Amino acid sequence: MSDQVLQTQSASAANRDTEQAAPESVAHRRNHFYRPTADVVEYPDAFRVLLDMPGAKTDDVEIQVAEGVLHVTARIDSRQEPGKKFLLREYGVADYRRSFQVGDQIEVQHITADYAEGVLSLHLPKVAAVQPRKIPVNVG
Amino acid sequence: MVRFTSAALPSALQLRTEMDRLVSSLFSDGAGSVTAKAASPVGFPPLNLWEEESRYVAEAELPGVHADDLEISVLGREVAIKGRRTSALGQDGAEPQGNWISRERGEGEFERRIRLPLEVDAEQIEANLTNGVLTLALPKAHSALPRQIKVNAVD
Repeated sequence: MSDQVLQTQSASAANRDTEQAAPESVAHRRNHFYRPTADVVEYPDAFRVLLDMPGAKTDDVEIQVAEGVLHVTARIDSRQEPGKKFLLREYGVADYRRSFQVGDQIEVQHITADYAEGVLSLHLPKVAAVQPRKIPVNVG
Repeated sequence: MVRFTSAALPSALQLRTEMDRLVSSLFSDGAGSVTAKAASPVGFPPLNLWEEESRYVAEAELPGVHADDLEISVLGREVAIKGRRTSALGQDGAEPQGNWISRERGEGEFERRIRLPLEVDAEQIEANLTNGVLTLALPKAHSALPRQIKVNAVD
């Protein structure tokens, strides 16, 4: 995916809650979210953010910017149905959620994202004013 | 010359747990909690393993691991998962060198071995890596499956 969605938080939250069918999984999802681990690297003209979000589908990853905060959420289909006979159960499966504060230095309209191999990659370009500028030296 | 100073950066992009909490309450009517996935005390990758009638299924989350960098081997009851993850940032020679603001995602080599309760059929094992989730279907060996013995009635 490579689009950036600007939505109000309340509208999105309302959609989320009414979409769910199985009452049990709704209860589970409402109560717990995982915060994906993230790498953040800064380049002269942009920030890059990588988030580990295994098991998501591209269409279920949502990125919103509202009031200076970038929200990343992903709905995850439960892979741990009750009744399964677990021999090892070392990690949980639930929706992902993480937020980042983005300052004035970020060109919010030009944030792009793509999701591959369970990793969400965000590209946050800086506004021109905070980018390093090369000043040509005139030879007199 | 306009100099880029990193002193101004913390405000540009911050990773804040308090923010996570604040936002989680905004999103979920105050009923949600956000936690990090706990590291497994027994090794990487953490595994979920369950048993079905004729097979075991093992699942591991391996985001950012290429299928080519993953090696699965099975011998009798023992399953080994080996692989490595390389950072997608900063190591590629084509990319300009960046400054790390936050580094949480691990990289490097890993190996995990588990022993199953019963032998599996190494020839029939299926491994699938989708969206960073590895699923191993491990059919129980024929000799390990329960067999019905027909009772011959002798008059």
